[in-house]
Amino acid sequence: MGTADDRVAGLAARLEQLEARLRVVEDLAAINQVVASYGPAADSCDGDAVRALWAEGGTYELQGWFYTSDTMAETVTSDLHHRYVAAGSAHVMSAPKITLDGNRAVAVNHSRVFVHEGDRWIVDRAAANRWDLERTPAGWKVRRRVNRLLDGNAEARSLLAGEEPPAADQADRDQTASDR
Amino acid sequence: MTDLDQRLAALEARVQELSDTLEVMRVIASYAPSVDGGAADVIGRFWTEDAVYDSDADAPLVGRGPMVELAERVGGLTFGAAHFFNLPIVTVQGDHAVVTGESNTYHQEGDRYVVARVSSNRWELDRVDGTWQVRHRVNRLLDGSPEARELLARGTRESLG
Repeated sequence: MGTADDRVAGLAARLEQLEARLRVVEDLAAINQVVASYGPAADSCDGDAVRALWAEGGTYELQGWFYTSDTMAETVTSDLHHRYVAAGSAHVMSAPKITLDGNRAVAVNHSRVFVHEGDRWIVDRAAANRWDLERTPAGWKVRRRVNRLLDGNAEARSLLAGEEPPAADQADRDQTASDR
Repeated sequence: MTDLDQRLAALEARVQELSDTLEVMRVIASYAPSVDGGAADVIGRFWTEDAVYDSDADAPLVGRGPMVELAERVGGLTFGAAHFFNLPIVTVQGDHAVVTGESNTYHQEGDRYVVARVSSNRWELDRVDGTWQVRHRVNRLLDGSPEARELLARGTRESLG
């Protein structure tokens, strides 16, 4: 038995540990929600909502397409996206594997796009995703999302294996929505 | 001790919010396995007494009786069926919660499975006697209809605040 002051100090230390552990779980839940929000935002053609998931200066890198936070809203106004949505589409996420590192996080998951065709839906795309996220004053936001089709290419597999893809070069960056 | 009391109270509130979110997700995640597994008795408790299930597959179902009948019908299908509910957006406010997300149903067809339905969903839940139950579910086929998209748009907007 220590003094009353010792006990208070001990309780304060335990509280501090609890607060830190809770913050980790809150971060995981918040990042899960960011990833979960992409599909409904995209499938309802809400460019502002898609944009709101990204950090200022964040990027979205698909094969052949490169978006920044400034152009993110164009992801839902492209001809391809309009064809998807007019037919009926669902961009669906698997549960992400999240790795936290303070104010940064990496989430890795699979995504699928279901598209309505005749009396059923087909799986038009199945892809690997890596999301680099950062904690901002407005909550967790996407700094970089890389999406690669699972078509046998090594890059898609390496994303799933947890490797960070190389930074986009100028040729990648020049591939904007207008190229389609 | 005042400082410790305040910190404890803040912790309790944060844990409450997080556990509500996880509990709501658990309830929603339980629906598809219960239906595909034919657990009609579980389905009764999943809904509130006056629950409404508004799907474009049927006239709206009201109350637990019709929900149980639906679950029995699905549980008795003679071909393989799998209801998937995908990673949802969950918004909890006090004793009410909204879950928005996309679901898809696989049907067995010969030696493979086809995607027979893809839908948008809005689930509204209430805390009833300390347990989360679904009061209202709307399900609309994502076949290009504006109504299906609006369900997703609404849930997204509410969650972003």
